[in-house]
Amino acid sequence: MIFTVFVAPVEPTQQWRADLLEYSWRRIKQSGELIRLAPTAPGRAPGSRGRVGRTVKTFDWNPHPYTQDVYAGYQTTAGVLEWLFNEPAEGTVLLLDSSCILRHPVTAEVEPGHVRGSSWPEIPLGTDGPFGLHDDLKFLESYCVNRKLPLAPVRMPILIHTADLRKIAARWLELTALIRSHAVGVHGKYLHADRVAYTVAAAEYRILHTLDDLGTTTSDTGKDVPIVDYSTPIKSKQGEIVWDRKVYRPWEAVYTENARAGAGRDVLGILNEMVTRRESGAELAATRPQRCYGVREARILDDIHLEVPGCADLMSLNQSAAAIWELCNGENTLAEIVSELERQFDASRETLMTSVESTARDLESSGAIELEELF
Amino acid sequence: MTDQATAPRQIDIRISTIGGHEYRLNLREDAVHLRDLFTRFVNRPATGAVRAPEFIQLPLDGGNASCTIAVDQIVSIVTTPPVVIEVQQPAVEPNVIPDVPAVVAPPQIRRAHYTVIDDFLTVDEHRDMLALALSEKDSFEPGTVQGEPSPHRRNSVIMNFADSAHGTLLTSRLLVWFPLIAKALKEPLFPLKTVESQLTAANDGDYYKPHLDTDGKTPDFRVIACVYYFFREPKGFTGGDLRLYDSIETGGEICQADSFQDIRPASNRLVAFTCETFHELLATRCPSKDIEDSRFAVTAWFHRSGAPDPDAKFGWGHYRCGEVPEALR
Repeated sequence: MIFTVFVAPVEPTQQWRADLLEYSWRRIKQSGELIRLAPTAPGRAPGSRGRVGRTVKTFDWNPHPYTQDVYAGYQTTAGVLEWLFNEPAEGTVLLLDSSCILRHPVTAEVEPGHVRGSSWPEIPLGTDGPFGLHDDLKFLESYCVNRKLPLAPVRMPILIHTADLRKIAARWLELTALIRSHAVGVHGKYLHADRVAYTVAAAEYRILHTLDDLGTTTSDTGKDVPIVDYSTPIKSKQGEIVWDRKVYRPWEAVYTENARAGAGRDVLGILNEMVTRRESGAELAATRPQRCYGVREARILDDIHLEVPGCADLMSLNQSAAAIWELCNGENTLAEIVSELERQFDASRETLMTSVESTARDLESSGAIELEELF
Repeated sequence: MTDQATAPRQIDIRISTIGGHEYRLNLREDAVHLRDLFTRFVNRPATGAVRAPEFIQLPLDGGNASCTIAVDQIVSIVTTPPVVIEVQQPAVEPNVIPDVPAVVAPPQIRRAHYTVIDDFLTVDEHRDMLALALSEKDSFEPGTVQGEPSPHRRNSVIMNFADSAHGTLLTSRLLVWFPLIAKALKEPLFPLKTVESQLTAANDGDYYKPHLDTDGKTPDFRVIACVYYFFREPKGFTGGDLRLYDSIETGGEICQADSFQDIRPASNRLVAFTCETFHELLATRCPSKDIEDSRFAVTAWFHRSGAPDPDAKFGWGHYRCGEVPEALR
């Protein structure tokens, strides 16, 4: 059993990435379970559960509850710790960033005590620090009993057994906070504190690593590895930026021709595939909304209000949201809802498709409906 | 994770009432109804006493039916096999009509919640903790109860362990776990004041009778207890299990139930439970009597702050009003 696990907080900027990762996951028919860890403030719904993946609501560790340090790196560790503490999952975890897509299935599983990780050549090595790390990290001597353990220069994506992840997660989280509190990197606080913390925690629990070409970046033109991380911009042959996730507006079509052949172009190809499916309505036709159990509906004059279990506030639907909610009868697909609204309202199909999809997403994020994948 | 509980027996019960009637039912020996039956039978009003009639409702057919019996009509109760039930004495004087409903709510049993975390410290931290305990073996003092020697407790202790480097190490790790432990124990997140800890050693014949770790009345009281176990391998002792009792709540009063769960002390294991749980350290047998062969443990308590931060949001701001250890500042 392979659990593909990533962390994506409930934010608009994270949603399209989570959707793209999920699309790439089902596109290649990756085996196992897809799990999105969603850091969520108490009293709020965990957000979109995705078509095929499962969303697990976790405590929000950004900012860090003790130090108030704002750092996204806490979320992965804290999310993994909570998920594995609460669930008896057993098997291999493919842990990756939310800015990743899968090109090919990952089939290899690992045994406890043996991790396969992507190479991290930029690990901050030095001469005077503990574990052979840079002097910036000398303070770790005060917090680590055995400072001579060899470190594995690895980073996500990794394949790690749940038993190992359970062991190291708390220490990984603690060390991340310590490094963020004490070490000063080139740009201020250590940006890769979570990576350093992982290697130290894994070494302290005597977990062995094998370097593996699991993932690569968008600039790679040769390796045909399963996972691509698109956090760096995609460039043309001439070195010009042709696409950057930081400025991308979902779901605009992108030009793949200008991108240099390789991992970057593959990312754009998969992104375009998804955009086309969405524009053609194929995504909507394959999605059926179901009202969640326990949601109570109140009608006051022409307004509809929803009370969602676990949410503090009553949810008021506007006119279009109310029309869509009423058509969520457990049988209609989103495409059928668009067709029905087309008959009722004087609006273009394109407008309705956008409206239905975004409203369905909002209702799903609020915990009022679930979106079921049909094929 | 190893949880061991002694399986309760099924008790066949025959209740004879005035007029020669007999009722038969079957209950587990730890059933609240059984204790309730005996308590009310023993405390039933004397003949001729002026008192409102009192009834007891007992489950039949596995709870699919019930029978209601007037308590003052019971003549005898026969159990097979014999059971010993500790009954509660009445809180009111006889011959007085009490100001309570004729049919009172049955006592509620509360299961002891606990959570176990194995591999709590890293390999080297665990070894270092043991080295510390052995190097400090002359610093252990006899354990006390509220500062006084007591026949209730026999073990050795080093107080104020949290102030030491090893105490800080353990506290830092506990703080990472705190929200998850609280959630697992169904304890709402609370404003933290401090984490108190002490190091204990249990050797041959040592024990600590059933007790609670808090009175819940002081402003900054203990809410969650955590016990971190460590010892030398191969293990030089037997026993020393932690016994967590269920409790019975009757009219706002909480008392210890007969049912319990035993947790075996495994090295590098942490067990957490709420301080409202009656618990007991079962006797330890250590043939060598060497302190090196003891079952060592650090017991730590999360204290609730009496003055939480009014600006706390979503239950998280509470951390800011507590004492944050240096390691996480």
